[in-house]
Amino acid sequence: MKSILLITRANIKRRKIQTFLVGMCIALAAMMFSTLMGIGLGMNQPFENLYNRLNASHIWMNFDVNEHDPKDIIAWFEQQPEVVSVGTPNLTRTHWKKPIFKGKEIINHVEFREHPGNSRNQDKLHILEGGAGEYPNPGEIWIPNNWKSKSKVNLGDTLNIPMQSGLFPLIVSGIVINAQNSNGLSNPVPAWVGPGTLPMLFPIGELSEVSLGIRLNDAEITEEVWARFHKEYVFRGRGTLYGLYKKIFQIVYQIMGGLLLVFALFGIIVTMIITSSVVNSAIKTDYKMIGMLKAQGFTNRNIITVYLIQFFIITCIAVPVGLGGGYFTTQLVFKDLIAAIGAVNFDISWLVPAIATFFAFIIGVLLITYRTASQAGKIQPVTAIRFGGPPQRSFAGSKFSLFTLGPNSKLPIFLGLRMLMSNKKRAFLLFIGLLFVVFVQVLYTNVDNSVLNLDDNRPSWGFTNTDLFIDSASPLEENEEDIFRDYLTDDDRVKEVVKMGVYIANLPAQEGKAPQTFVGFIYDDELEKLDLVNLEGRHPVFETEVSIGINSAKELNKTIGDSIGIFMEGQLVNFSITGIYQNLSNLSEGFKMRIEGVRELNPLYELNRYNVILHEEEDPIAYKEELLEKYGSTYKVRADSESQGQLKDIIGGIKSVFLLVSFLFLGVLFLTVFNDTVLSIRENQKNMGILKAVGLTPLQLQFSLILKAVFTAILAIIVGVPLSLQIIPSAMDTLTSEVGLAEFPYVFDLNKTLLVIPLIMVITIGSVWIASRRLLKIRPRILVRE
Amino acid sequence: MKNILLLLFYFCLLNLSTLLGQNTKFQKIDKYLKAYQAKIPIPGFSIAIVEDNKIVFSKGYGVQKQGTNTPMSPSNSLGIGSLGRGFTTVGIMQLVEKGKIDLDSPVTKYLPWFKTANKNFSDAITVRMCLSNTSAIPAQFEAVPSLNPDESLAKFVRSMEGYYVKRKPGLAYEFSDEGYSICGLIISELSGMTYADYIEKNIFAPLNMTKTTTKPSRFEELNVLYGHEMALSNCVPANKSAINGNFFPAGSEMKSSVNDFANFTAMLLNNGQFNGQQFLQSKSIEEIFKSNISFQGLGTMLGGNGIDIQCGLGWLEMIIEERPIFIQVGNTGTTAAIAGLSRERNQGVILIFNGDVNRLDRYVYPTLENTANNVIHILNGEATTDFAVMRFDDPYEDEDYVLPKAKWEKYLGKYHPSGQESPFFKDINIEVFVGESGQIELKAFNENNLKGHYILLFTNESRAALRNISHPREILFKLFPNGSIGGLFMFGTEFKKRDESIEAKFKSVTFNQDESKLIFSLPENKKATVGGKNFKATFPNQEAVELNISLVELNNQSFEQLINQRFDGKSIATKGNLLAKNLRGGIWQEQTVFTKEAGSLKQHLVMRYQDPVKHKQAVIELTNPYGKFNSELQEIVMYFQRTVKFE
Amino acid sequence: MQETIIQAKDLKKSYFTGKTEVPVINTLNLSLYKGDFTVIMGSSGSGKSTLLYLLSGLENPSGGEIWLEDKPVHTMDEKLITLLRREYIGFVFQDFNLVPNLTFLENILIPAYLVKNDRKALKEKAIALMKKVEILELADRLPSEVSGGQQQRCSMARAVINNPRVVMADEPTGNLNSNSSNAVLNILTDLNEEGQTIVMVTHDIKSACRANRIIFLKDGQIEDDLRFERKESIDDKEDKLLKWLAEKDW
Repeated sequence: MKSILLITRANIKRRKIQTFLVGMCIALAAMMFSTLMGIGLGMNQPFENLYNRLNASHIWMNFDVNEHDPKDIIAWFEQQPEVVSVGTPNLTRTHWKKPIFKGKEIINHVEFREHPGNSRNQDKLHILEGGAGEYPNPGEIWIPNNWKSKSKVNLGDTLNIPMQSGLFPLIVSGIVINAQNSNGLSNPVPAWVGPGTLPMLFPIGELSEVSLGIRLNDAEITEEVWARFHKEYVFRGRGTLYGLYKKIFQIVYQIMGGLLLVFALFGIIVTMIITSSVVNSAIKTDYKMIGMLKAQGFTNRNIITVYLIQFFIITCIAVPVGLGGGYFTTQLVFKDLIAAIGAVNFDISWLVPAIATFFAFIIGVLLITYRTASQAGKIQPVTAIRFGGPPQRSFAGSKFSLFTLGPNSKLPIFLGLRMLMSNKKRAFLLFIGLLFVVFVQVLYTNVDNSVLNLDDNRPSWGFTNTDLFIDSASPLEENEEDIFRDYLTDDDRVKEVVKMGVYIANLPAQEGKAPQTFVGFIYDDELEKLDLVNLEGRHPVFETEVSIGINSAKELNKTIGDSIGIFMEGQLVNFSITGIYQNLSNLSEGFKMRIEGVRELNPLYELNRYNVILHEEEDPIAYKEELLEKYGSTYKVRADSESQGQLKDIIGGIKSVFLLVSFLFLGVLFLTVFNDTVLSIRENQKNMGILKAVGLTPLQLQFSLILKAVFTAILAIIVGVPLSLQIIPSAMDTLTSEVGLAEFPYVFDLNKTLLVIPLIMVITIGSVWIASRRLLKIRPRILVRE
Repeated sequence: MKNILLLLFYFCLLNLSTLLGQNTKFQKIDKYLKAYQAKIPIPGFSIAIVEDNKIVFSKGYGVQKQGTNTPMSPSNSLGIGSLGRGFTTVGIMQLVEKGKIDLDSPVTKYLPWFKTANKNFSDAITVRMCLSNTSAIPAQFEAVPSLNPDESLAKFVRSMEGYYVKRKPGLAYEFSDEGYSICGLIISELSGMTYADYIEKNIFAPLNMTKTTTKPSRFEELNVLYGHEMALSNCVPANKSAINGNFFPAGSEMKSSVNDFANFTAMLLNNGQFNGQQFLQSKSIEEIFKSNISFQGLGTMLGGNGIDIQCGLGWLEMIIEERPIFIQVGNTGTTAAIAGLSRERNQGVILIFNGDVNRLDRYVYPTLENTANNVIHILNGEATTDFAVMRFDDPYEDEDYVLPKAKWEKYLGKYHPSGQESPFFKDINIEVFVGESGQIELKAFNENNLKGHYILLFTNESRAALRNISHPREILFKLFPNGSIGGLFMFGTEFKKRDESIEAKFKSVTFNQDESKLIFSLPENKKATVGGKNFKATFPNQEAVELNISLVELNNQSFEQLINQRFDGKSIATKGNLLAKNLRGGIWQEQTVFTKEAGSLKQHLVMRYQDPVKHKQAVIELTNPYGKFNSELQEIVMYFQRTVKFE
Repeated sequence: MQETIIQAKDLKKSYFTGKTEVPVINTLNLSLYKGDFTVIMGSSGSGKSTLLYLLSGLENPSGGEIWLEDKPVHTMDEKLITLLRREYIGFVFQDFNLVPNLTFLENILIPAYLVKNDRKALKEKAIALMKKVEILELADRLPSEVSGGQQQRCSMARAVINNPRVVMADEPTGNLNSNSSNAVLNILTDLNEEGQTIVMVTHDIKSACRANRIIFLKDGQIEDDLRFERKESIDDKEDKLLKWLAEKDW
């Protein structure tokens, strides 16, 4: 054993650069793996963690004290066996004027809540910054995390709340997160003031709304308890349940967490590929030594042990280094992520990804080493000592012969190809590594492109192709609106005008479910005119028909042709389902219906929003300004381009993570190629020297190395691009179906996809260039004397 | 020569016929208006017609007050609403003539502190934009109640710093009382007197408008008529409403008579001259009527012609039957007024109603625009037209839905505004009940004043049209699948159904002190002690919470002074907004004050209820350690406020 | 007067072991002439291989000048030296140094392809060379499949394919048996007779006797310079050389 250790030590000492490089590779891969895993885990877990850590309520009720005595409701819930705790009824007030910060409105409307105190054992707030004390002091406010990133509000800043008498200043004394709204995607979002401080802003007589939280012993039974409450108590307020909070939270996280874990897996595969190459190459260069050791009585197992120990030591040193790097990148990435989507990650345990990465790498590296080192067993001592390398295979007559490559092929091309073919295994591994890189790049490019082209592809996301939304501001002059409609339709610039309205219907109580709101979109013309599309079936045409969102269809277990009972206009009406659609803005829930469906129940039902589609060459903003000038305050006109802010935030968040992953994988590309080049040079050290001696310039040698890598890259692209295009759409569908996109509106862009090729090429070439520069400076004589 | 003679002859003939026609055309107008009066359920109105710079016809129709016999007179003062804007415009033009104001200078030149939440936009607002309704600050109806309404204006304009301007100023027409408030304040600041004093001195006095004022203190002296609210088949007399001092320059409290306003009109029509004096320069007159922006005119289905309406400084120019008419319409909810000017014929017609004629059911009653236009037609010897006659049929006419009687019960009860309502509906409470008609009826109250009484014409279980003499509006009941009713949506405002069992937990308390008697509700289980001038209550489960009430004679002490006096010597940590509202003819003010006592914060909710009629005020203070204020205490204060009154 | 083909002026080369400088070539002056078969001899560590590498441009001098004809090698960068070397130098190594994964033919052709692109002609030339060194039948074999002598013959064919001005050989027979050695030396001799300038490092007397000039190196400097007449027989040369070497602590 001692001799084995001695050899190992000698190996490591002798090959300082090699050892360092291998260590670097493992460290970098570990960094990437732990980063991705950290993010992936971080994305998936905080919701539950946070919920439990903050003892968040599963049922969040808002009601008016004029309608219900909080004591009655508290009493009911306290009697239920599933209820762990009932919160205090806190004064709550939604303010429909946005707070002003530095002369600008901040992004959200605010639901001001009086915070009963962090020492209470329910609905605690997670303090990110400031937040000293039980609750904010009078005149202070604790704001949700995403205002910091989105509106750049910091601790100590003053938010001005527009009130009846002007602006009321509130000083930000805490930046916090609550469990239910942690990603800040709901609107209005809660912000917290001290108990009893809302009367500083609002007339006390108007502060009749309270919120009350109920915490249950099991999140899964939330709906059941809620349904029972509705059955036994006539509740007229609002209730928001755990399930919805979770769903809203997952809009972003579901997609990103899933993707990142997949990418982390890619990461570890690539690492193993690198490790395998390194071991493989070490054996090649140690060929002679192995022969000698064998001749001196080393068994195969002894030799394998040498390598196992060697790589074990390297891994043990490299992985922690990588983890350190991973920790910092994760923090950095999360900072960006938090900025992009108002996300949370303060409570992911770094331990889990660290331990997982460590063991994954130790086991992976050792397994790969063992497998690869087993080849050493095949080494014949005599051949090894005599030739200093494995027997070479002849390429004479093969298509890689110097003479079959065509009369004009340059020598470096030949050499590059020959180098590639002389270690097919490593070439294959490089190819696989590059394949992953190609996949990630194609994914990023096309998902990014799909998102970028959202405006051109709105129907696939569930949006209309509307250019201008026009709301009639005054409900008085309904009759005038027909004139307005004529005005619009008579305009040559206008392509389509369809009136639309939002209808808040209800779904009646069902087995184990309380009645719930069911939001519908009502149209007064063919839905096709707005370019709306269905996943299946067709748009509703007759008054008895509806189409429903795919998530509603799943939840209600309904399909095309089924009948659905909707509570509208005070009565339960049955409709038949003609179509199923997806709609990102509403999580693919709810329904669509023609106005006739409502008119059947209420002949006087009117819609209040015009969807105007202009002809392609017309400028919506110019048309909007014209309408404003003509109609003043009669109509509120909003260009589509001015909306979708929230949505763009979500998408922006996803995009930034994709961008990061894409960068990481470009790093992987660099690393893989770099490593391969270093190994190639080392394996071919002697050849390089000889070739230099016979008159190849360093540039030509570099060129042949570049070509070798480029050949592999081209192959990876040829195979990878079509393969990715096959796999990606269905993969994205799976990932996004939960948030309402059963079919990810994938816009394939050939040009942008083709741009991946030069990108990969440039990085490949750059990587080879950098890797080969220093090594090629070594004098041929020294190489020759080896 | 012959020709000239002929011409002279014709001229004489023409003169004669006009002379003869005078009587007949005024008789015709009188006949027309008498018929009109018979058709509409508004108790009374008055009219003045100006022609060639003088009043040629003025008369009252109907009675001053429903149920009485006192006839309406053209010298009766009533709320003219937005017609008052014309005075603000003239006030500004007077200052322009003195070189004190440039219409196109930004407001900040005259009110340097003026700003909205986004200063870059408010800096762009000019005086002209304020007068032509293009300031981009829309009418918000926020009130700054005060027993001293003159103060309200400055406070109100300053409070606009809380308004976020959403579109570029100057771009589009948007009806705005706020713009006029700004101009009113500019007049006040530059002239060094209150707005009310300025127009009284500089406009009403020189134009002999003795019956015109915007000072509530003069209402009694002028015998102002407060108009009527609308009920099922008639009008019911309205009480004096709460004073909105912040909108004086937009006409909120402008009272005038047709005769007075006719003088103003004559001056405008006579290029600024009145009684031989140049009251206003003619270029100022041109500026007032010159169009700044236009907007869509009355559509054909509403009886109009769709021609764009041009907007001057407060006056709108409509092309009616190829004739340009400058109009101003005002309505206050209980009164209404219209002024129509034909500059080319030097004619003006002013009508003031003691009910909000604009709100009358247009499917049933002639419209004000039609009436005013026809008066002009008759005045010019022309036939009447159907301009502005509604061409739609009553959509509810064919409605045959009948709400089953078995379902009536759940609709009945009291509805309370949700706290998110527009300022217009802040203090409106609704009651749904089975009325004398045997149908479900709805009454809206502002405190104890009836604001509307309707029959509910249900179109299905969740919707009903409000029917009375006013134009039908639809309300929506918030129905839950379990059959219960959560509330109703009316005029875009959500009202929630009150659980009356909660109210039942509060009991009425009477606090006698000297001759004053304060009545209010407190929870049944409170513990109260009365010691001299003070009433003190504590509540079980609410340790260290104290409610103290003291009564004093109404005085001029401001709320700020009251707070300073009350917390003299104590260290005030921070204060909340001073909030005020009109309450039962008085003013309710409240402010939250936090004091530091022995290292810990104490919360004081200080409230004051002032009753100018009983000349009493109550100061109420709820004290609790910081952090102990909760929804129960809120309810106590809410019910207190809902019930408090002097007797 | 013979034409100078390589000239070294005050040539210096040191290596560093740790921080101590070990001079290998120490202010050496030398001219090599066209058509000569020069052998560099010297005891182990005398710097003879280093001198050869320096002269061939495979190694950079620490000081002094090297001129290949009129080309100052000492001033050139690696690329220029490489390009120059293609034309001037053919190198034969002790351990053959054929590219193991290239066939004999490919190994020979690689330097040729670097210079010219008339592939057909070059292939013919390579075949002719292989015929000359008697390895034609091994054209498609890999180095590992044949004997050392055959590899060295291949290596020599590679060295001369571009008709270099000078063929340099570093102990070309060092790893060969005597039969193979002779064959290799014969080829060199033949080449020299055809006018090829040859510089060879060897410590083998027999090999050295093929030369017409012998330079003896000691401690990095030229200690002596011996010339043979071309017509002298091998045995005469050997006698003369042995005597010469005997004086030199050989």
